[in-house]
Amino acid sequence: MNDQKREQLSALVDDELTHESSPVIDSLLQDNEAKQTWTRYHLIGDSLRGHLPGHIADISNNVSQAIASEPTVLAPGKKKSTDYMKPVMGFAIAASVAAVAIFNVQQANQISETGQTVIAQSSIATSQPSLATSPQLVTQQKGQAQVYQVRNVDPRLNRYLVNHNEYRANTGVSGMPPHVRMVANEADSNQ
Amino acid sequence: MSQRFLFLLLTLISASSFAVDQTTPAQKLISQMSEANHNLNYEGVFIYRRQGQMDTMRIIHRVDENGIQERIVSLTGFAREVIRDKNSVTCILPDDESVMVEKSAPGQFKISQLPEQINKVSEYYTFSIAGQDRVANRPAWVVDILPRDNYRYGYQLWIDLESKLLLKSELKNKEGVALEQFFFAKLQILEEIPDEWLKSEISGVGYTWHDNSSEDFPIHKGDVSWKATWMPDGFVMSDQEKQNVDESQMPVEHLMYSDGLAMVSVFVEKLDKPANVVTGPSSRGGINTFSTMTDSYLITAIGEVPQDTVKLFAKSVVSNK
Repeated sequence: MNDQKREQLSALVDDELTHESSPVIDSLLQDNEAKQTWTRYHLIGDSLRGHLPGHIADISNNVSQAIASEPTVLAPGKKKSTDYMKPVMGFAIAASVAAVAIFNVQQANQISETGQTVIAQSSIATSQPSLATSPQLVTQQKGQAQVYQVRNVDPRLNRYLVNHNEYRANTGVSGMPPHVRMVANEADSNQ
Repeated sequence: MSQRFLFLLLTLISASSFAVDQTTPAQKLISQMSEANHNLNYEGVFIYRRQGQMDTMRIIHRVDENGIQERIVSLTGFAREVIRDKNSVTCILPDDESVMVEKSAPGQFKISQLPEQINKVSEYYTFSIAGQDRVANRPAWVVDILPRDNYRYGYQLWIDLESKLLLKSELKNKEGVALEQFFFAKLQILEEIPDEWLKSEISGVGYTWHDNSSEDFPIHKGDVSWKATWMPDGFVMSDQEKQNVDESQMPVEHLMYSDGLAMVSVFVEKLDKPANVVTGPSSRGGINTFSTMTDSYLITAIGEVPQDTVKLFAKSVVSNK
């Protein structure tokens, strides 16, 4: 499949093709490879939005893991051919989808085996620019990544917090049971 | 013209009487909520959410002749937990392999004087009932508490119609954006709670213990030598204490300031190695902190108030002597 076709497909998935482009759609529909790619793009989109039924979500998880084990997909700099980079850059959706998939896998990796985490993280570094347009996702994943990392606990601040919460429990209106923030799995964020 | 004036007048009258009618039940509900927490046994699972992060926790809350005993355990990530009774607060931190024991705050087991406090705080916050909602399969009143200036945060509270327990809450900034959220997914009010539910499953063997709850570290009321010289209108010093702590043996002063609703703590501690300390702002959920060094003293302000407020508090602290 050539670059032009990939770009047309991407536009189709993004709803960017107008009525005038219907011949393009027709030609894409006649191309089996294009049809398969189109299906994959939609599957990726649905998986991202959480619209997949359980059994398909499992398959897409396997796919994500397969992608994760091949980090070079997201490291176009390592490819000799510059032609290869073009479609990669052109498909911001696809790139961000893969990055998100790897973020999810990364979380799983951190729980199971730490060895793979390094690979996953290096992929994140190369794909982060395409995620920049989606700040909500970025913060979410940042949060997930913090879980199970070695915490940088400041015992003094913890002591202050406990003592503050103790008195807080008896002062004014407390919006929560005291000490919830101590139980929360969270490092302090220095601004 | 006169008709229009009459309409305006009527609107104003109805709006003001509406506001009066609404404020009183809101205050009454908050007071009942505080009482319910001092009278009921309950067990439940709640979700705590902030800055894109979420944790699920289990809470066990028992009230008997020994006062309130409470255990909160994280069901996600590390199984951190906090157990408190009338004597001490124990924090078990498996991620840090440490256990921290602090003294309970005295007086926390009597019902706080909320109605009077609320009358005073209505100068700094507005109270209203926003409507009804449903949380953890229970119908709830929704109470709005909005700050009148930028030095405080607002609250939205969901209070159980039947038991008056707090079912959900949101801490909000001046723009109404929720900074953290707490809500029950499941809650049961129980006649009795077995002792085992209040015990940790983690033995703590091999963990590092920081115990400041023993008789070796008594708390002295008063006799503090530091004070904040700036605070937002309505804040007063509500309590003060001094305690030598385990790790440094140096006295730590704890000054407490409250406007009747929010609370800011100021800690002053002399440090042996001031170079190892991180100063400046930090936050944890809806809590903001600001630390600054004066000579070899570390001054830290902590509270569920905006970053500017803790910063101004901390920077205004001076020695009395």
